[in-house]
Amino acid sequence: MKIEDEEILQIFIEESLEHLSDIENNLLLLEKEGRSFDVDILNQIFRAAHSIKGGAGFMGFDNIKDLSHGIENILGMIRNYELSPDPEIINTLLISFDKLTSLIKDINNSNSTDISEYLKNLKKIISTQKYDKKKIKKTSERLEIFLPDGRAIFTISEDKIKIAQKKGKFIYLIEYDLLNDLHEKTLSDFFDEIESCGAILNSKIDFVNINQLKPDNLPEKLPVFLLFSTIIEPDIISTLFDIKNNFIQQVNPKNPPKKAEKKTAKFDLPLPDITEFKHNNGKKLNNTPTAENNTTNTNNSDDYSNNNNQVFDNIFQKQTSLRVNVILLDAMMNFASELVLSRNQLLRAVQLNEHKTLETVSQRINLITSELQESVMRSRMQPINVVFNKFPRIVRDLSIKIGKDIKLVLIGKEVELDKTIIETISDPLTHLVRNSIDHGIELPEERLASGKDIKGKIFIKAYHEAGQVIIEVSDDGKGIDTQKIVQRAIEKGFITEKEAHGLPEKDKTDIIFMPGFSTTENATDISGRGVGMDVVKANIDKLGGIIEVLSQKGEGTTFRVKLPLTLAIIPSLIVSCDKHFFAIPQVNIEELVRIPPQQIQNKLEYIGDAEVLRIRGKIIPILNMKNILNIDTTYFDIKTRTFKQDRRQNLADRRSRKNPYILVEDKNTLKNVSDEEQDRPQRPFVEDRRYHAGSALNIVIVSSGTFKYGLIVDKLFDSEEIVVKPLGQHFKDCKGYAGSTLMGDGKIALILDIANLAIMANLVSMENTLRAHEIANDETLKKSKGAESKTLLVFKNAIDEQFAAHLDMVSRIEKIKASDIEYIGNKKIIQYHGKSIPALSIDNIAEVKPLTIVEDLQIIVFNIEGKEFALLVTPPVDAIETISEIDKDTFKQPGISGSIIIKGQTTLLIDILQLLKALVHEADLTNIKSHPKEKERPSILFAEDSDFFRTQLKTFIEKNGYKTFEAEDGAIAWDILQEQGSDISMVLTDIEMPNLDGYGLTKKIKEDPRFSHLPVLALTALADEEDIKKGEEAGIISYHIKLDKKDLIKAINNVFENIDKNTTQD
Amino acid sequence: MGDNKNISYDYIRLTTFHTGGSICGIDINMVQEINKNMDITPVPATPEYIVGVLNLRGDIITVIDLSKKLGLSESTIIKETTRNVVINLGEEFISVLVDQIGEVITGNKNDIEPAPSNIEEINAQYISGILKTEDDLITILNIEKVLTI
Repeated sequence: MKIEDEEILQIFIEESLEHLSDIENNLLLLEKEGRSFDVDILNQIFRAAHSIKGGAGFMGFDNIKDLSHGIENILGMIRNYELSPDPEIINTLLISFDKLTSLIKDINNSNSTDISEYLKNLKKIISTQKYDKKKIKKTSERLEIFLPDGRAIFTISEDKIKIAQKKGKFIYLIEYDLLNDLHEKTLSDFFDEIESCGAILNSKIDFVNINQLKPDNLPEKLPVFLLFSTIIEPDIISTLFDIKNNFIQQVNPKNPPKKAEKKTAKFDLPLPDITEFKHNNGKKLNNTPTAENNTTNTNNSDDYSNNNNQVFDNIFQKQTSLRVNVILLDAMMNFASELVLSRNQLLRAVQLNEHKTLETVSQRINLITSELQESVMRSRMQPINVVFNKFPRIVRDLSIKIGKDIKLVLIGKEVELDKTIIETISDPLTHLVRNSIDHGIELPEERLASGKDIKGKIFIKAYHEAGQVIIEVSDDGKGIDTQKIVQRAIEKGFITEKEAHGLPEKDKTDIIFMPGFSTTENATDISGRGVGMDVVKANIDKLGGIIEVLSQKGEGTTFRVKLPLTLAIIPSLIVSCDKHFFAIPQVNIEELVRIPPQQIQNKLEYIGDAEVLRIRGKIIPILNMKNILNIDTTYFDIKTRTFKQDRRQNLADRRSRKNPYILVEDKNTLKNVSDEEQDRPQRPFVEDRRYHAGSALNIVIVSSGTFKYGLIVDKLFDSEEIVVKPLGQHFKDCKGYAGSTLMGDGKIALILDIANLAIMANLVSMENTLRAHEIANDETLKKSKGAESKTLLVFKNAIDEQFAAHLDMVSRIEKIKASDIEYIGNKKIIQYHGKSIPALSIDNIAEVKPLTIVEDLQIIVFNIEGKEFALLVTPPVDAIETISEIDKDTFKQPGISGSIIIKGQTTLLIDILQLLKALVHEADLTNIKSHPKEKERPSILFAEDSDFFRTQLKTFIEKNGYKTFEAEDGAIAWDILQEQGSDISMVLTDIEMPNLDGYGLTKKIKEDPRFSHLPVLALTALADEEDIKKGEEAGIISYHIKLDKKDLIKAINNVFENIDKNTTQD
Repeated sequence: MGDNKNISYDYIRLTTFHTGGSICGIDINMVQEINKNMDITPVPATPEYIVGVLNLRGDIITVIDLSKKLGLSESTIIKETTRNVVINLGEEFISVLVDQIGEVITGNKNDIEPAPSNIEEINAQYISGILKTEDDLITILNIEKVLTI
């Protein structure tokens, strides 16, 4: 094919597609208006088919030609009122046009496609209609026009009147007296005159009133009745004819047409009220020019019945080429020429080295560039109508298919969006609309039953808000049933029942966005194959948009999509990591968090081996950019003048380097930072950054769709408007990048794809699930033996030995100076708030390395039985939560109850009571040892699976004068009870235990007559209403928090006192 | 004009260069430009053969280490003679990093021999032929194949 041919072909394709773009809605309009259609619209469709036919014939695409010819024939018949545009015919036309579009899109194969089916269908319409032609003529609606006296004078097709009315014409029945009303005019003058203002549809001389027509006996009047159609309005029509008002009557079919029914329009005198007339016809028939104007203006808020937006549609419809408003183009041209002028000025200024001019020119160029940018952007904008256009068809087809009655209301068709966004948003929006039709709107009978209008409504609304475009798809259907969703989510294993319990309503609806979720019982071909809302969400995320769902059960659902105006230029934050620069789109950024070095320990926590940041009560996973992207951390060694690999592995290491006692290595790292800084002398405050905050953590909290996480970066720079440049094909597997951009200094920054980064880091999507999983994990871990979650206080004695103590025993932590310690004999005392507190260090009792005495020490103050004592430790002191298991053998020694691995470091767990005992012994404090309850020592069976708590509590209970039997779990406790039953007067049990839990044990006790009298108290770490209820049912008297010892002892004492009372009473 | 046509029929003009110890040639029509802009921005987490990206007058293009991509040697070390050979692939420009640029050679198509089957260093599908000149054997690369994934 020659090049010219290709060009012509291209033009033909573009033109044809443009013609076809409006056809769908126009055909739907035809169908809606039925026989009284707008001829203009029909002509538009006709012209489209006709010009496609012509072009295709010329280019030799016979199939296209034949198909469009077939379509044209039918359209021609409709135009001649030989066919009525009923749904069946419109359907065939729609399908044929669809085929035509696909033929044109794949034009090279068009001739080899089989279109016989389509042609056959088209021909069938023609043949059946021809057969019915006579019948149609007969049944076509006729109006009889009556005179005031009841005589029918004219019969006219109703369509004719309607068509006239469509064009904004009025139809009058005029009684004109040829004898008296002509005045000086000749008859032909009169007809010329009135025909210049309108058309005479019919005329008749009223012979009834003229009995004889003799020259000598002229009748009083010679009335002729004229059916006149004109655009002249009723209030001035009389002046045209120069006759009295009451001889002019407006013809106005009052009732909307009904098929095959004879219609009569009453010829009432006097003139019908204008307001009534408007009321009847203002909307549907647009009789008056004013009414038409109104519709034009309100069109956008009306449904799709009007077509006044065609101009728009025609201007913007292209994919490969774009039509630009000439005004806009002129403006761009203007800016371009101004830019040229400014360039000349700039060149001159540089040549002459004129600083002053240079400044003005640079300002000018700045201004022009931004204006040019804006107008170029505007040239890329298309009205959302391009997308909205296809919804009437979708709604029509689907609602017919599934038997729902749905009205579609489109609002804000004129809202403009960037071309790329328009192209990408189409699919997600279609899915939302389908979703509303399929799941949202109920079946007519359901609607009727719930007292709603049978006709369901779907609103699609686009509007601007805060620099973004919002598109809402809402329906007045049944809303989202969160109950059902939660149930489904549990079934599918997305969440557990426990998690679902605590989910707020909003989060429940958000479950529909989770991958692989769909609530329809049967997947339909309309929507819901399990690939549903998550894909919608992913698509919208890709555009930098946000989707929200608002739903009220029974009232309806609204999906709200927020989109940026453009994708070509996006505001972004520039960050750096090592020597790499990255841009994070502003739309993904939630907030920036900077953690000073001394707070890193407190702010960052671990769940499993994942780092998390707790911020305002929420847990956010933290990802280190260096780890995700495998950036080798290098630092510049000034001695060898080479880059060296940084050996830090994770933040925990980083943290230890913050330790004021390990300054040596840290200096290197700092140097590294400073050296980089010096490479970039344009950045101010280098000094400050280096020494005070260089080692602080910069965390960018980002979110994208269901992901929300913190990204650790080295440095934060300015927020810039960046121009997105695509990366080459070789980067297609590098999912972490959304593109690249050039920064002001010509350097390249990579744009991060926040969602994909999270996937690369294997982050679990959706923050709620994460949180829920985390809780669930804790719970399950707690249940497993000996791995109860413990809060520990971690500290050091000698600098390289880590210790931990149970936080529950700690009353407070204080900072002291080494000089504050007083030595009395071999005892240490610390003055504190006017009191002397005995102090000791771990090495006083246990065989560990001696306490490193530095100037700033910390004391951990324990409060046991109202007595305080202080443990001297080396900072830092950190509280952590851990589920690691305690090793009770390897390091067991006086003062040390075992060891535990915390953050990869073996940590010795101190035995506070033993330490205290040692201290008590030393200080000879007798008070704690015995309680005056010796004479009667009731025995308590104590079941507890955690060794730690068992030992602690056993000692404690015994100190309070009771004997104890210990059991590691419920089953052992039961065995003990069997053997020693008679000696035991109370059971104290943990709830969560292996083999036999607290409830089971209690039940067994209560069911056994030997033991049913035993009071059972429960110990627990956490108790909620449900657990307490369950316990009560089993027979547990009361619940006690494990470490609230005072409360526990009080309860135990109470129970025994009651027993005593009862026995004495007996 | 007529002469040119003849040349394009029977002769092939090659841009030659040294990479990883071999002399290779690329059809000159594929070459957009040759420059020594070594201001390459490395991109983390990418295939090994990607050196990074380069700002080519406002376009961001991928820079590929040719010797690594061909499997000839370890990564190209940037020296004084290192050049970017910018290849026009139609849909995008890609720069290949070469050790040194050679001369433009016009070779008779009849002198081009198919790649010997025992060639091991370079994947055979990347080679469209071997051109024998007075001094050298020039491996003619099918650069489109080399650069498309």
